[in-house]
Amino acid sequence: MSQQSLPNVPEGEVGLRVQQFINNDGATAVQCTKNADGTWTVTATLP
Amino acid sequence: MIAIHRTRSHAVALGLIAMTLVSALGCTERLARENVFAHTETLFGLAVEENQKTQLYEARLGYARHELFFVPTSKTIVYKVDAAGNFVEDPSSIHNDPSDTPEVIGSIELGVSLGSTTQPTTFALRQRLAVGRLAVQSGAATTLMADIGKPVSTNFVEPDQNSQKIQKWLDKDANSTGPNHVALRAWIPKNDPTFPADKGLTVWLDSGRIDAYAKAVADTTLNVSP
Repeated sequence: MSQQSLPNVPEGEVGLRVQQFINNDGATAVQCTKNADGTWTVTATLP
Repeated sequence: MIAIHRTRSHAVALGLIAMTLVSALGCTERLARENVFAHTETLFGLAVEENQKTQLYEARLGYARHELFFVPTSKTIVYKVDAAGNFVEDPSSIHNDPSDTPEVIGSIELGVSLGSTTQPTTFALRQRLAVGRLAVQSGAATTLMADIGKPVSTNFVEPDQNSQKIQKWLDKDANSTGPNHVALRAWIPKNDPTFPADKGLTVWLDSGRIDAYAKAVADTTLNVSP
């Protein structure tokens, strides 16, 4: 298992990135964290 | 007073046209599931009348707006006959995918400013609509949908059409072990030796590589079928 992150994701793209982590990489967990500048960091746990 | 009656008549006429359109096109439930509908209605009023008791006049102003967006998609509901002989919906049909739509971006704005030029009181109605894979991700839509007075994200890269084609091709798989994912994971190392074995596709493709691959796909052996 490994973790990978996408930083600086605009708010409107968070759902798309979560979907891509699940569909593209088979992520078993995805965490979204809001940054101070309003963007998000999407972190996925990959198998 | 007359103006209000006219706008009401106009609104009623538009509503009847919309209902007639929906009725004429057949089953409303099926129509709604195969297409994108967006209907909004805005009513704004201010009245002026003569007060019988005080003999003073009161103002009356009206505004009515009805709007109907109709965007067709590639989805067509298909029925099949089940074991009991009943017609049932076939969700496995290749026509069940609504992802192909016209690319539409729309915006309507009505604003009024009252008072002094230095400190006006502003009243505004805004409506925005984006439909379609490219349209919703375009820089134009991002700018359009941004809240007034808030900065627009500048790290947005408008997707290349071939990049969209690759992602759409991947999206056809039910999960990451689908045949298209397997084909892409086999294709990347042959064409890009920097790809580490344990790298996930999402982060790897997001770092600008999907655009590079998209250019290569046009004249290589990766069969990104439509």
